Amino acid sequence: MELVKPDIGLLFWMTICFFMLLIIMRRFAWGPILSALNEREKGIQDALNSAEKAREEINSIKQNQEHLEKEARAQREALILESKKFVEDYKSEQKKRIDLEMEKRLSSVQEAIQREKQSAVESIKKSVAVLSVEIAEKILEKKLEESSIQQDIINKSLENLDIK
Amino acid sequence: MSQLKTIRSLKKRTNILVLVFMFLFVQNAFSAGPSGKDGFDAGQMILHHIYDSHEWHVFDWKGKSYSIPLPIIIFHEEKGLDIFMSTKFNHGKSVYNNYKLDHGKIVFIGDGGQVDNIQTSMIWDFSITKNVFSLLFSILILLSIFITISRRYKNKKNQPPKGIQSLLEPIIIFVRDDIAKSAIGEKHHEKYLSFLLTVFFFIFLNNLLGLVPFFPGGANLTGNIAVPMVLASLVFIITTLSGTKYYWKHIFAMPGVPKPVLLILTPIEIIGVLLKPLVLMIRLFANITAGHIIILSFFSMIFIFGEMHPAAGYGVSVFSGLFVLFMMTLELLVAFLQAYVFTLLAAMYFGAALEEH
Repeated sequence: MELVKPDIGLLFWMTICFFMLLIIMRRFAWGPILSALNEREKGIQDALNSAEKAREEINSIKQNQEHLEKEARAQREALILESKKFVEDYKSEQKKRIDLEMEKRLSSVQEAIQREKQSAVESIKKSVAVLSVEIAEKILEKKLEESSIQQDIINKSLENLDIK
Repeated sequence: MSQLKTIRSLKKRTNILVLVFMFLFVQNAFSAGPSGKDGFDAGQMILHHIYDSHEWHVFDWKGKSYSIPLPIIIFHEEKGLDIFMSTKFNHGKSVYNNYKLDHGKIVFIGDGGQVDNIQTSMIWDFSITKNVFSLLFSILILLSIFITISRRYKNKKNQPPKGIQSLLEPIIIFVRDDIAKSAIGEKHHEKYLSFLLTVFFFIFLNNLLGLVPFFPGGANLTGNIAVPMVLASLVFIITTLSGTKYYWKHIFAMPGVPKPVLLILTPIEIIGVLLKPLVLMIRLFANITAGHIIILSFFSMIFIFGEMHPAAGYGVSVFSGLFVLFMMTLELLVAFLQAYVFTLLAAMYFGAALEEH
């Protein structure tokens, strides 16, 4: 059978050429292609993984943020409340203090006024006495003798004069 | 609208192209038949196509044969090396340097003008025949395609494939995942991957080239016994070299089998080891050759009926053409299928040899 009898020429060329094809393809074609394919597949897998991770991270960040926001809001509320109270307290305290001070000052002023009034009355009393004596002296220059009696009268009348 | 028009005109053009191709094939087929006085011999025409040839016959025109000359390389045990072009043989009509082309074989012509059988047996024919040329051509195509692609893979890493790369990448991944990984396993498949890929694309491309009816296709390379023989031998060698202790133990002394049974079983297993690559070889060879024979037979019918009456020839040609179209489509599938089967079985043999417990 001619059909199943291999030709030595074709066998020879096929063996040589196919070996060369194998070696060249392995070195220059399959090596780079397969490594690039593997690399790309790995890259895609990595990208997917990192995307998943990023999504999880974002979620946790979001949750964290929400939590923080809530906390901050509560804190703000508390702060506002506190400061309001503080201000109120301060105001009332201040008011009390001012009231007290005012009272104190008022009383001291009143006292001073009283004192001044007293001294003024005193001095007026004195000067009225002197003036009255002088007046009396002048009136009585002519009626000299009865000066002491008159003095008494003046004093008495002055004492009756109640200036407050 | 204009798009539709261009599609329509394209369709028309492809139709014309198909017609031209079919015409060429018919020409080719018919021209190859011996145009003797005893009429058209279908069997001889078909065999002529299945066999190798020392020149690439293109067509006959007015009784003259037109073919592409191929280099003849002869090593004679006494005369030494001789290299010349096949035109020197003048299609088998002339004798050159005592050599003559006789029915596709180179024979030695003695001084008396007769074939010298003793001298003929000393001829080693290393000619670049039609099949060798086709082999070199297919290797050139494979190298140029895959080295171009690999350059793109190297230069543009992590980028989506483009052009022919995107056509071949799924096939490469298919061979890797569905043949190598599934048959050999995740652990060892990488070692065999370049062999499997090369074998797959070599068989696939040559099967397809064999279906192209004119130069530089049409050679029956994968249907020539020598090519599957080399491929199957390589599979056998690789399987034998990668066999584990477990594998050999199961061939020579199947554990758990009584001794007397082993006497029968071991020879069967040893035959099986040799039979596997043999079947691999025959399957590829027979499938491709059968496809060529069927297609050529349908064409032969036209001429057989044409010899009876021209009208019968024309009538049959319609059905023959349709059948050939159908067969061609089937052969396209077979071209892929045989490449797949050969590669898958080779991978399975490797996987079996690598099996460990």
